Amino acid sequence: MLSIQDLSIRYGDVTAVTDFNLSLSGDEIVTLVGPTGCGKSSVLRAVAGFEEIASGQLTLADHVVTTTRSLPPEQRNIGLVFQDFALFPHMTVAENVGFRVQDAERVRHWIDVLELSELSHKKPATLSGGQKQRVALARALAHAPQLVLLDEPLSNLDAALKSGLRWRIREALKSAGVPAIWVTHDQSEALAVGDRVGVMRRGRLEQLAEAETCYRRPETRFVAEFLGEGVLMPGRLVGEQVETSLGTGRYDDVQEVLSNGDEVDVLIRPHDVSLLQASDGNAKIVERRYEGETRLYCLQIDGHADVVKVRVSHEQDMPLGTHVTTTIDAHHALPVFPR
Amino acid sequence: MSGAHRTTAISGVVALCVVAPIIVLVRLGWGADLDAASEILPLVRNTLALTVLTVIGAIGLGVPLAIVTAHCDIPYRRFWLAALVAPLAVPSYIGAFTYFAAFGSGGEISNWVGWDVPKVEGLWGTALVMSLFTYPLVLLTTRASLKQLDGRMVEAARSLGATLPESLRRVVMPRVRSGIAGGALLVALYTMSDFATPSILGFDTFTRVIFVEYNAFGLDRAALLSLVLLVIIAAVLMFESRVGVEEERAQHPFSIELTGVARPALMGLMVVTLMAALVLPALVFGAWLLGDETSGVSWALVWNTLMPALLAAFGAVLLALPVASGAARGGLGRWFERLATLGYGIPGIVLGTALLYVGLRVDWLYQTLTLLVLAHILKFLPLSIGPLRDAVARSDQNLTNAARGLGATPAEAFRRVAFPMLLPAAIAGGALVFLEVMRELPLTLLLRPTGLETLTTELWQVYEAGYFGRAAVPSLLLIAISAVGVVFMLTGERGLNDVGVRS
Repeated sequence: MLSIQDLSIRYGDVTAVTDFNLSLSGDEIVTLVGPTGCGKSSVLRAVAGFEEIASGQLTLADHVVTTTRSLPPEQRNIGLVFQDFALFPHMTVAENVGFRVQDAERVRHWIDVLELSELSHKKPATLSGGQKQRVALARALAHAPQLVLLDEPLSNLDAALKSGLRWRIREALKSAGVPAIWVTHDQSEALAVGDRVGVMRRGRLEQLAEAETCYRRPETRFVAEFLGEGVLMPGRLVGEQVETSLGTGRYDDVQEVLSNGDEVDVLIRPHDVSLLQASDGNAKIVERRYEGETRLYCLQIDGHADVVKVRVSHEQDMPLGTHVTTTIDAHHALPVFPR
Repeated sequence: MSGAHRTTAISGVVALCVVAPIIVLVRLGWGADLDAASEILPLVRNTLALTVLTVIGAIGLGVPLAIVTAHCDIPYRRFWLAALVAPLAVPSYIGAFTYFAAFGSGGEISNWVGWDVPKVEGLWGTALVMSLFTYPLVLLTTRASLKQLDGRMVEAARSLGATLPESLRRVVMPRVRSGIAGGALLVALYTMSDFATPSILGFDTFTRVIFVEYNAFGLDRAALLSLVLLVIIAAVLMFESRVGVEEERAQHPFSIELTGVARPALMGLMVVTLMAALVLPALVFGAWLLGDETSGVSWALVWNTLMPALLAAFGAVLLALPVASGAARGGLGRWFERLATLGYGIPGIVLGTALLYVGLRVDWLYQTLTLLVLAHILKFLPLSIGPLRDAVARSDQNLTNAARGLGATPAEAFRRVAFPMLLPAAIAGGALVFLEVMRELPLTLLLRPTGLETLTTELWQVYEAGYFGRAAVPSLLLIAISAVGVVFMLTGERGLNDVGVRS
């Protein structure tokens, strides 16, 4: 359906996106995630037709867009869902959803699916943020797009609404059976809703893979640190194991560039370590947070400046300043990167 | 009587003074010998036709120019905007005067090109000239509402399959309609109130015929015509309450890339508009300045222009203080303030007719500077009330109370706390009145004491006598005064809200 090849986008002298490649079809949802200014929204605007491309090409169904061949936004048949909703304030909900739809049945269908029928005669100004975003999605889907683009659709909503609406949007997209690109800066949202996740940094796609792969086997140090919680600790490869000051565990040479004896950085996530109280331990608790089901301890490791976060069961209650012994207790191989 | 009550009482008296001319007109015009079918109806028809055509012309120029200056990628956009708003600073009598002098056989243009060009006159000519000098009102109000438009709206419409023109029509226009309507309303009121343009270009509207009747000593007939005109203006003002501007913050700017014929067409429109509204008058002035009729202005003329304006400005601020603080307290005070601002909507020629009659009845006012200054205060009082009312509303009663708590008497608290806080607004309001009075024509024409000539009346006499060359220097001075006034209004405390009706 959509194929993006070697896409670059420039604003004057500034390159916003470089050599971006992505293709998707069926009903796949790809999330693009990255820090502010990483170029993720620029990709979206280029696909939608609001940004010129500096090089590369876009293939949309049977249209090809290049630097010399453009296609106006209205001919791309793409549904856009904006961060600030962009509902037409002078039209009711029903009029917004039916903006250019001939088939009244289709308008009613999407109003029903997104549970808007009671609001259908209201003006956008009277709606809550979550309701507005449902109207925006209904409007996009009622126009029967061949692709849906969502630009940070949840970032203007409060946290309580986010997780519920996340699933509503995903379900609606799946039931419409259209592919979608969903841009977000919230990594937990990216991991949760994306069939595949693309992690962007400084205009480049660092990794594009299934959510679990990105999380378990990050291909770059940036992806390792950006997704989820975790810290890169120095270590050394010895046989099948990597030795660190926290303990020893199996390793995963994601980039396939390392050999025995190399000095490496190991990705340690809070769940990968277990603690045992010991007066001669290698670490000391410097901060503790109660999280309900779990407890998070921040540890000062002997001989290290950085603090390491460890998450354990709530039953393991230890006061500040307790000395502990750490062991690596992961059921997977730890990703390692050359130093 | 407490201070608050005294303020409200003064405010009431001021409001009464503003309403009084209408009562005078009713008394004077009652039973005047005028035939409705043959004398009044044609005037109604003419005035409405001129108003409709001028509004259409002003919208036709103002809306596209607003879109270009708000959203299009044209070079030197700020320059174009300033230049396109500049015709607002050309007083109507000067604009009409230059068109009167430029066209027709023996006009300046036929002198330059060597053959006859038709006159600009009658309904179409008057509407053309009025459109050329009023379109900036539509441009400004439309542009203000365009600027509030979020660019994402247009992107959303286009992603849903609407072309750019369709998006403009279905998404942008409904939002901008109220801005256009606001500008159109100002243009309509201006057109109906303006006395000079139809008089100079020879089209019989209410204002022109009222002046003719006054000259023919038919003051009762002038009064009755004035009343009919006021009724029409009141009917148009009814629309104003329905014109509301929706407030919205635009988070994403919206820009249109001009392609194809749109760019040369719109650039052409800008150039032609500026040629007609600024360059042509400038060329006419240039020809006059270089001609042998040209003459400077006397010091007496300058003094006669400055002095009534200064007095009126001072008086207007003094009277605006109680009205503004009464309005800030709400209730009756707010009603008095509404009444006091009515004067601005009464055309100068109408107010002049009413006060002339007052002068004829009250010996010690007849043909005095006092009456002239009072007339200007009644007319321009709203200009000084506006900024003061906002300042009073902003100033905190607690500060005065704090001064009282520290032992100050009410008078001292006002002098040392409240007054310094109101001073900037008082100066701003006074300056506006000062500038407006200096370029005002009909009131001055009707009410000035014998022998007191101002820049505007001098200009009028030059026009009537036909020595056009002498108009150059007073005209340029008036345009300069006017320009300062317009810049002041647009950038002043209340910005656009103060762009009102001038006549």
